[in-house]
Amino acid sequence: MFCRCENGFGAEPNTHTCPVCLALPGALPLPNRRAIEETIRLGLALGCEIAERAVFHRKNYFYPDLPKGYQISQYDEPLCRGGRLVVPTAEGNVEVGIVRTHLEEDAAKNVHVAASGRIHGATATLIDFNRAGTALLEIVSAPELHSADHAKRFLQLMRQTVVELGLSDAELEKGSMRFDINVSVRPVGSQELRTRTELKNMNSFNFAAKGIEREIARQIEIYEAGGRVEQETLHFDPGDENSPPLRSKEEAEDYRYFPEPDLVPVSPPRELVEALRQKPGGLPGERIERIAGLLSFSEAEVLVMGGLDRLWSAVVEAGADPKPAANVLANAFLAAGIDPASVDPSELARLVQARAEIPRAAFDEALAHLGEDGFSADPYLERRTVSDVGALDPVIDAIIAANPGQVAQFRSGKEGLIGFFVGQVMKKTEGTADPRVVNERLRERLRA
Amino acid sequence: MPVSLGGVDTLRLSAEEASALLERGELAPGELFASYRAAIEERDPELHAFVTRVEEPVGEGVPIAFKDIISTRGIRTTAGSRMLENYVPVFDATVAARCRALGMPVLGKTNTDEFAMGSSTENSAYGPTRNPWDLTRVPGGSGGGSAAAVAAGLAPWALGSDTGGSVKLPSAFCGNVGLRPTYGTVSRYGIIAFASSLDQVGPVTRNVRDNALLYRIISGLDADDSTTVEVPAVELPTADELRGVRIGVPRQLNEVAGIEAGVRDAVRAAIELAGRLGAEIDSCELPLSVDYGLACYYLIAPAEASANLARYDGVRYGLRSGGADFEEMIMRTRRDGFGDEVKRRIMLGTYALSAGYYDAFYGSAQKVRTVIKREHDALFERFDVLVSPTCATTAFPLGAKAQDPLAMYLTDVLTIPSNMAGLPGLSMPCGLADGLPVGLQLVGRQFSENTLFRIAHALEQALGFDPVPERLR
Repeated sequence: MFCRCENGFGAEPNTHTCPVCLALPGALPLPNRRAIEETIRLGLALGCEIAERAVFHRKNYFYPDLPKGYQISQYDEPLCRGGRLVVPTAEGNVEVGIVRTHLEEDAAKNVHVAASGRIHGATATLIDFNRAGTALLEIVSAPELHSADHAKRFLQLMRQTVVELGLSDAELEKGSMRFDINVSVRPVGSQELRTRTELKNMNSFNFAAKGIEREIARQIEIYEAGGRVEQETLHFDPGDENSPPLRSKEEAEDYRYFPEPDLVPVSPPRELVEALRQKPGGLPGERIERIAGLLSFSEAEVLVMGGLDRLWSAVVEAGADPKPAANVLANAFLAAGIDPASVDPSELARLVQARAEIPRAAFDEALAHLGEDGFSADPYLERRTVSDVGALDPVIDAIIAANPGQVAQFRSGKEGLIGFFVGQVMKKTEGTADPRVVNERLRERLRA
Repeated sequence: MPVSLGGVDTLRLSAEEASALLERGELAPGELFASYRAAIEERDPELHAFVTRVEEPVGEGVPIAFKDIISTRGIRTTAGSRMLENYVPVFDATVAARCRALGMPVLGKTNTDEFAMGSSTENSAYGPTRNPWDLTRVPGGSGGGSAAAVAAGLAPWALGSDTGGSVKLPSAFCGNVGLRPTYGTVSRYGIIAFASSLDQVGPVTRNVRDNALLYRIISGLDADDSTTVEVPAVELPTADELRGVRIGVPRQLNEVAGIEAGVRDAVRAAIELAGRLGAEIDSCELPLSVDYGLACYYLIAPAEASANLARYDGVRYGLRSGGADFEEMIMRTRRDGFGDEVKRRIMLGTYALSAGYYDAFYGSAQKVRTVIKREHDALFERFDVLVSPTCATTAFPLGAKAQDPLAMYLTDVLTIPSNMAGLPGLSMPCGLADGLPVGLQLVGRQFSENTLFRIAHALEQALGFDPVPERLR
């Protein structure tokens, strides 16, 4: 954020450092123009007000991974303030307020080591400063999420928004997106906000949802037993979601914030702000809403969150039916891991429309080659399904003759064996047979 | 030019003259460096102006000494602290890089109060520096080493850093010309931070033209310090009269409590001389700046220092005292590494920033700072420059204030107001009082360094002050 070092994720420890991020005496922070612009872009996407004047502050505390002994952050004059993220759900839209979006710098990474190599009984701490000083964008939402499911959807949608805006890869495993979740409960109908606990440094959506549910249950249990929830921070082991959280009392930490004198306030010119504004209707939440009118909500959600909805629209535009196109994209496509950008929508549309008439194997093969340069559906569409009884009967007869044991079992009532026979025929015909015709003919012949 | 056998008269040679001699090939760069080396060998043992000396010259220009608060690649930089006793920077401060890019060899690193906190250089972990005019007296601080080195001919010029007066005060006590430039004109990159919103590097020289020359070298926009700005071209002063110059004499600065008669007389004489050179002189008022300047300074500077010095935690560099865990290690490191004055200011600053006190202390002090700035701005509608003594006294004896922090803080009462306003200030010698130099402070508008140089140069010519300490003549 404040130096010119490369982002060093995955690199050898302490190979992406400089006087600034190591906090050598006399080194000064330099604001990263791109980070400021990206923050403004996100702020605009979330409908935030972009500050005319934003100020960096020093947040003071001692920790081995904090090289300067303070973190440069934003305090009462953040870059973006007040906004909202609309989270579409099957039951309708959930609107979540965004209190603020600000920039700060990340700390270094502590690695605790012991002879045993485990954290427990660690005898030394090694520090990797590669991450120190990396730009960190903090988004603070209002307390307006009322279930673990909504919280999870909110987080997923936020991630997709950030990824699509190109701000970050937001990869949870790399730690490039993390969440701190504050949880409190209250009686139905009440509006008060009771004492909250904080689930810190969560890095998986499912894990977050589970943690919230567990915490809700725990707090309810405490209240029902006549107890009081204490404000505390719960640290989860990211490697093991079943392990109980480490608790730490929220110390009355005094961060002694004051304006960072090494940096001048940021006053983004209004023309720049306007240039960074997105066209309306382009955000993932908005697209889910729009598509959900044509498909089911969950189909729409899968397409948008999988980054497939734009391809889907193009395929439909090229003549494919919406539902089957969505199914193909959601099932076959996601699994195959094809880059949507490399696909020719009109060729895919032809495949989708012909999928009932061509052999399954041909369809699968076509999907596998879809992303290749100059892909054409033609050779696959030529491979028509064999449904001609005259061609299929000899094969069916041969299979029946070769498997007298299974035939006897089928005839004595084990009708489930039909699958075995169909499979054999399909294998024999190399997948070209029409499974419906094969099924019908097999049943007829077996009953005969 | 008195060129003696085996080198030059380092007490008399100006940097500008030295540069001309080098350019004309009348002096070999090695010979020039060796002359200063010899002067250091001879006189530094009694002065202790240097913390670290450099044996071999790098570059063929006019040598220079740096206050030991300025990072120098490959040369130990201690900030006058035990904490950094063995710290060798891997990078040059921008000002050092600019000097070295011109081939100026570094003579060494000069003594300073620890982390530039002090007014006498007695707070250095490496022992005090003595005043070349009187070895029983302090050279002023925090940059006493640079001032003593220049006054005693151990360096043709030097750089200091000025937060509350650390260039101006030692220059006054040692009879040098010292400039504290407009905040933002000189890069702070690589300057070991004391109070970031006040720290500013400035030249310490034997005359005004040298000062302008060195300021020209070090000033200007720096991509590594986002608080720097473009600076008007620096002109070498030639003026010998002051016609049309409007000089304001702020009553509160010139009649400050405890002002010594000798100081008052020398400053008055200089102001009268300015009048004879054609300047218009009028008295004026700076009531709030002087009343509140010092108090606000001692909230803002320690507050910023408390954060700036947090990085000395024993983790990455510098001193590390052992401990069973991080907490114990950092506590022992800071206990062993910092001296009393540094600890005092860290505590003051931490307190001033604490929850519940911020508004009353740091917050209010920043507001008063704005008031001080406005008060000065108003005067600059009528005047080109404000003059006063740099300090109410001449150099005081070693130990005289060492046990009385408040008395020591009061030494800076005249230099602090304009520093708080971010204004440029120049101290020049205007005479002697009881055999000790008296400093005259000229304060100008933001970015008016050229005006200060011009006025100072005309006065310097008319005053004819001999900057060589009497005992060394």
